[in-house]
Amino acid sequence: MLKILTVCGNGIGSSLMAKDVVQKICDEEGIQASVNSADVNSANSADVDIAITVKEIIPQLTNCKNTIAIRSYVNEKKIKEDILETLKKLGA
Amino acid sequence: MKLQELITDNIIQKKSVESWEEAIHIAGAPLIEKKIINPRYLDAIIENVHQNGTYMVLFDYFAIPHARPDQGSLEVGMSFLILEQPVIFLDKAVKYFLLFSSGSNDQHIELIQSLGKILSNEELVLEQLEYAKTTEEILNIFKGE
Repeated sequence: MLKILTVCGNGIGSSLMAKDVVQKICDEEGIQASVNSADVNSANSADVDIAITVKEIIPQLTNCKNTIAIRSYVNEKKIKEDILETLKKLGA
Repeated sequence: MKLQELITDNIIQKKSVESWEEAIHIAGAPLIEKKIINPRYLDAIIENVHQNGTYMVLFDYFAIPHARPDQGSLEVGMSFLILEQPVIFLDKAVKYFLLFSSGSNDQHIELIQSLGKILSNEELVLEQLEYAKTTEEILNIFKGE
């Protein structure tokens, strides 16, 4: 089971939207995952396998072992293109 | 509470603004008036942008400015500023400011989820916004399922 976190500045808006999209993609692709959303500070102290966020936020995720940059918090097609390969690799 | 109901009385249409900070203040004014947020919530939004950048610009022209509930927000609220001419928001051009607030970390979750579904089709949303003139037409975009 992959532990995934979607991350934005406050953890209550953009990351929440992305959380649903990422969970849907994982479900459709048969990737066992639990997806949650968080702000940057919580993400840095969270025990997760992958943190997913936009490129502006990536440099602030100093304590996350795996990060993926997404181009959009809401566009399923773009998010899928950005995350699928890495998720399949890590989830295998 | 549905998206449409939240936004109904809080739509502002303007030709242009001087700065993105002004846009945040104009967008937030109806929520201050209704005592849904304190003025400091808007300062927190601006500070959030300075700290984290413009990640809240979800796609071309469309931003969802917000801060945390503990930064001066009293309850769930949403307002929508539509500009005819885009304003430069640091590194991006924005015409639509959908500002929201929540009284806690979970009161707004369903709203944001339904908003996310609507905004997942960015081409459609932008096209609809381009042609929407009346309040009714604007609200229709946020009708959802």
